[in-house]
Amino acid sequence: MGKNHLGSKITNWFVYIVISLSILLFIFYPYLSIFVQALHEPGETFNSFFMQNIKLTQNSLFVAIITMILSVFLAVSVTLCFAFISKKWQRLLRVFLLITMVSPPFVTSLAYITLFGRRGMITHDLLQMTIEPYGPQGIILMQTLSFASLNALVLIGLLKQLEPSLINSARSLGARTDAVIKDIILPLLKPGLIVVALISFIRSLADFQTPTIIGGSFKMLASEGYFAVISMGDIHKAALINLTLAIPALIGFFLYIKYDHAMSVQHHGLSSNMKAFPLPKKGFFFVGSVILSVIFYLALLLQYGSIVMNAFSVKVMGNYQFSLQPIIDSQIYLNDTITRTILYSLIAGLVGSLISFLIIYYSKVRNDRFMKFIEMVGTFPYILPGTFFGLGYLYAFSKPPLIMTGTSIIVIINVIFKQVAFATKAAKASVSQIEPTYFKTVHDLGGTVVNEWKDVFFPMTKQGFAITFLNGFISTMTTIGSIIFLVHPGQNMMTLVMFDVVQRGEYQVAAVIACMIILICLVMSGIVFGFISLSGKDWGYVFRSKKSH
Amino acid sequence: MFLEVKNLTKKYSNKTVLHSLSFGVDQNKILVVLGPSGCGKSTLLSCLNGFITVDEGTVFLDGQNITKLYPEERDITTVFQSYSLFPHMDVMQNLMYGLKFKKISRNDARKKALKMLHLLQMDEFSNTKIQDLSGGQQQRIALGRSLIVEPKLLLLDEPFSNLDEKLRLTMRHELRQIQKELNMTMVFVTHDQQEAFSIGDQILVMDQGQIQQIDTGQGLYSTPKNHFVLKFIGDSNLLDNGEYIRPEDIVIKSDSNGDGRIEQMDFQGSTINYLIKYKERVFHVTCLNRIEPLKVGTHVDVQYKVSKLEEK
Ligand SMILES: Nc1ncnc2c1ncn2[C@@H]1O[C@H](COP(=O)(O)OP(=O)(O)O)[C@@H](O)[C@H]1O
Ligand SMILES: [Mg+2]
Repeated sequence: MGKNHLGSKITNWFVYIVISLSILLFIFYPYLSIFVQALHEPGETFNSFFMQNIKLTQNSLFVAIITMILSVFLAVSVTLCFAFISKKWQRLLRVFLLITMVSPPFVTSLAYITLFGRRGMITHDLLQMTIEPYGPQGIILMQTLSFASLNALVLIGLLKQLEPSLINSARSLGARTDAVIKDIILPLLKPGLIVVALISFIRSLADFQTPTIIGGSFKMLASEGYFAVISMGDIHKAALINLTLAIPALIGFFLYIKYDHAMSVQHHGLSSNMKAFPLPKKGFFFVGSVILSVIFYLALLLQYGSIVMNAFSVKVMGNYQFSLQPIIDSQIYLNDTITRTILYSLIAGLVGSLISFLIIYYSKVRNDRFMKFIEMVGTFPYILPGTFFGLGYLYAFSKPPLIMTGTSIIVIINVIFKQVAFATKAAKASVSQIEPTYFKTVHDLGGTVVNEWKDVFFPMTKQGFAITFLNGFISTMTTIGSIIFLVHPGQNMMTLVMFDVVQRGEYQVAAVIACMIILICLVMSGIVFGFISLSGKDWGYVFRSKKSH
Repeated sequence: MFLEVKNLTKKYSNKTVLHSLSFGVDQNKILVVLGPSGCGKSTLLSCLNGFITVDEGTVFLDGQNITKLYPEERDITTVFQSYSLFPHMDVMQNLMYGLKFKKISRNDARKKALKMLHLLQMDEFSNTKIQDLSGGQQQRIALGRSLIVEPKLLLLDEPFSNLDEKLRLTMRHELRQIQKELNMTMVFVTHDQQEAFSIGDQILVMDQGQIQQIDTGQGLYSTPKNHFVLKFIGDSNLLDNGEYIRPEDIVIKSDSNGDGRIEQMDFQGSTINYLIKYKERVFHVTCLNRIEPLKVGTHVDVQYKVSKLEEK
């Protein structure tokens, strides 16, 4: 028995040290080096840069604030409407919302150009007019549309946990639909509203693709940071810009931590349907939310309709005809990119989830203080702009002691550690459902830490692990910001190719790639959910029964 | 009758959960609906407060047909088993919530809420957060929140089942007091017959969505209408032909020539339950704890009183 325990102890320490060091090295160190070097490097100082480019900050904040307000407002409408409709409709609409989750982030902008751009299908072909679609209004509209889905999915997940008897109580006391929504539902959603507002704000600040594609002459921090690296090779300027972006993002982050605690387990939109609310379908909120939702879903329909149409047609004398030409055209851009993207996504999903679950094992099950700190460091990439993370890698790993720039391993490491932020959150939700006594039982019966992992921790969280993996897979398939500066020719990823061809005006090829990414993600979701429903039945008893009645 | 239910039928897809129920409740009385879990008690309440639509039948309250009204339009409030206090409001806000929908000034609403707190003996809790209340206190506030709007009818769905034994007894007692004080008409749902006995003016025994008997507690016990009521209410030793003997209707005396024999003894405190063998049959016997408990194996003399089910 002694020998056995010694081996287990060594494994335990080895895992603990490797995890801690890797998080410090691949998350903490890159962020640290960007701060140190951007502030100490010769060249423009942060202060002078900030003062001279105050307009950029103003523009970014302006767009971020308006987008935040609109996307939360739209998401609330979509959520309320969702709560009123029957399960059948919910299932259908959720597919819509989920498709937006597996789309590359700038699909909306791509659709926008093909529909409303200078040679757009609607403005040019249908209405015979040429309008100027570029500028802040386009950015705000596109960001609002694409952030609203995620916001709505988070809010729907939260709403599902609301006890219907709260609503029934209010009604029994005389509250009509509008009063129930105003007095009960919205106040209870408040922590969720704050969280999604902050996420939208931060995402809008960090989004460089939308302004690059449809911003026109409207300059913003994120897109200027991108241009600084890509067209001017001015990494120092990019670092200063990202530092500016980090300030509001960090403020947002601390608010986010505060309110995120108030939200219980959220499944990031992968949760199941809920029962339609026991409320009469009438009143101001109902009508308003249905109208806005209809507009929202029509916009999504239009968006994906145009993408599919662009991917499968050619224009012959002003008419669109079905054709596989765009797919054939896309081949020269893709080569081995598809395989590589899938491979990297698989690795990121698996390794990222494994690391995250082990972090949560130490921080939550073992209550280890240092690992709680490591867990917090791991959440940085969730909140700071993706380009910030990428630049950090560029800075940190282009010089001794660790030179990795230009290799493919740096891209893989980047996508793995970028997952940790969300994966630890998902892991925590999953682990919190295991009765702590299971771990005690293992030790009680003479088991070791390795037994805890092998016999309790991983078997009992395998569904959560599968979801976390899927999340890592999807987010790597659709990621762009963190890797755009790291990828060298010949090791491209699909989103990067797509972004590249959009900028060249090859919209049909971009549409093909968008469809491929969506399809790959949907297939993987199907596989993972198939696995979960197969393994689902026999695990129900493990989880803490909710409040018993 | 103040509440008059006629031929109430409720089906889920093609399963009938309530079979044409008809009953009434007089003003200022408590009707307890008693039945095993799953027999349709909550469904019945949901038909009364309007959270589900009925398939057939009518509900009249104070002369008004309310069958088709929305819950918010009915002059009925409900106390749910899970309390369902609004977690984002404090005690006062919870109490005053229903008054928002009455034409009543905020000041008067406050006064009413304070008065209610006093009635509930919780004066010092006006600004307490819901999360800081104990289960019993939450139950009281939930009750107060439903009472404060002075509904014509108060419904309670197993309101005390999440409380511990002692508290449950206190709450039953308090509920009766408050009911007397406010002259409230109530329908109270429970699966606990002790609770039904101590609260109900009338008890409606239900099984599988059908009314088995409506009577006072005493009436149910002394003249059960059918086998279900007999078996569900109290204990009994069944004989043939619808005859039965209640365990307390058997008197045993230690007697070495007696033809009964103690098989088991179960000490309960104020009472002692015995299992005796008498004429090749086993009987349950309940005695008050007045004499020294009889040991297993003791021979006893047995005297008893046979009751008979009223044949329909
Ligand atoms: N929404 C529903 N759909 C289908 N069957 C239901 C529904 N609600 C209740 N039932 C069925 O109706 C019966 C009565 O339920 P309920 O009224 O909750 O019983 P009780 O409150 O007496 O325990 C049960 O068999 C239950 O399965
Ligand atoms: Mg019930």
